[in-house]
Amino acid sequence: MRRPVVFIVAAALAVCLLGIVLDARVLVQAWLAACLTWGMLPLGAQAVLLIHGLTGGAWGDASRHLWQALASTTPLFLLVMLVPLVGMGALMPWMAPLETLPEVVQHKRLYLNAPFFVARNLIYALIWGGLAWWLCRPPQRQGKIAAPGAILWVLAVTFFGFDWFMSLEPTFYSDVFGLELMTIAVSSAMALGLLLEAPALRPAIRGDIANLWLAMLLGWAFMAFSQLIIIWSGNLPHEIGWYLKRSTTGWQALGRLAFALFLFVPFVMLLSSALKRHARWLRIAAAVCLVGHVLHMQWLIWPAFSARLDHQAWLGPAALIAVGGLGYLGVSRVMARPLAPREVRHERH
Amino acid sequence: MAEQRRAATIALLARFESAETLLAALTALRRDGHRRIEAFSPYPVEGVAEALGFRSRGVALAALLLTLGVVTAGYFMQWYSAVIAYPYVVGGKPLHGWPAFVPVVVALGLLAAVLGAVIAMVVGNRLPQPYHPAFEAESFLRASDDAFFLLLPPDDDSDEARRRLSERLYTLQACEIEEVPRC
Repeated sequence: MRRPVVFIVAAALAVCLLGIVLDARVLVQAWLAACLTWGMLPLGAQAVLLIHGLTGGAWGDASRHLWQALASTTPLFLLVMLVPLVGMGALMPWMAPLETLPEVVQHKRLYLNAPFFVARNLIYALIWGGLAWWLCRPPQRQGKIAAPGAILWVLAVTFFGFDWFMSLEPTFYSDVFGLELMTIAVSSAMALGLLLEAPALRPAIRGDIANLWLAMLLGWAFMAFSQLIIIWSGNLPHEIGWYLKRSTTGWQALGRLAFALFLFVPFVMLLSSALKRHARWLRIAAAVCLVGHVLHMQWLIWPAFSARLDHQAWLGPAALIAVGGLGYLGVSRVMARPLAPREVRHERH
Repeated sequence: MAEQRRAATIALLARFESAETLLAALTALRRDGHRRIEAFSPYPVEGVAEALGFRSRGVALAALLLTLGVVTAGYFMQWYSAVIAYPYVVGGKPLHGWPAFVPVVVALGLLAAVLGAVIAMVVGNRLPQPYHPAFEAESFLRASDDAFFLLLPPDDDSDEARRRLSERLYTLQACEIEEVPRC
């Protein structure tokens, strides 16, 4: 399974290299979208480990290795994020000269300026890199880091959301955005975990994880809808513009499809308690949710950029395949050698 | 007359010493083909519900149906009042502004789901039930203390069937058997 993936990743990376020559700006956009799409998964896995550290429970003891395998790809995520960090001049509208910016953005330059932006990213990298390293240790050597770790994680994701999602459209502001991002990260990471390992877990554990996953998906629905109804009711130009861009013909259809796949189909599939313990059923629901996640992230990010469909249409998928493939290689390498003694025997293979 | 009615409507109440013997006897009786068994224990015993063939689907179904009904009605109520009965433009929004309708529908839907589940649970447990035939047995008071009971009717009303079931219960380690009216 690994060899063909290596070839696909190499081919996708070659296409991305071609993109640098043809249209470097679009390549950086595509690379950022890919990093943010897949980067949610290790971040979400960290949160799952932190939640289990706070609450305990058999579900986490039996599935810890899985979340550790996902969280262990955090350094890869931090590494690929260097590309958009270097190319931030091409991405961030607030990097333009001060006098050309709208007034509301001029007032945000105290926060949105290159040195502070880079410093903040360094802090996120330290927090997430440190958490990933710490959380991948055997549980008896972790000590009590879950509570401070969770606080740092929440703060980092919130400001990361401000910096890499919202500041692409610097006139837009939403309080709920960081919370929405957290629910996206955890639900997509749990979906990936179930997709990879559902058959290897006991039915009762599977059911527990499926319940937590469903709760997190509903949490996302709550956050996403809170943001929508506040902005829709207020109907103020800077804020509603964010939704207007995303409800022009093509994006509206994509957004609806993403909602159906990310939330609605898994929600209906997870209503029955008996089916929640069914490994194959869960894997189908998880796969549908992950497709929805990928579409949803494109819907969140791409409308921020001015349309250059001739190049965006092939560089976007190429970057998704390249970064996603690298992540897959990282996860499969870790899954091959267990980090911690496993309680469950592998039934697959 | 009274004797005749008693004979036609008898059930056996068997007392067991422990949760393990109760569960073993229950499983064996189900395998024998008995379906109308009731079990009583001082605390919830894991596995008894499954061994009784209990399915809680009715609760989930009642909650789902009531929720769907209430959500539909709640949405219709808002749509009717905002679009048909009192069309009034607020803040430049369309008359059928669905985001504004959602919070009410969600709150009503949650209420309906909880009410549906509680009502279905109470009705499904045949509550409120101030009298149960098992109360006729003196020893049944111990069901809330330290004893485990199975209640089941014999195959038919003959003395022979009653004797057979009673012997079977003793071989399954019942320590005491009483006859009570059938429910």
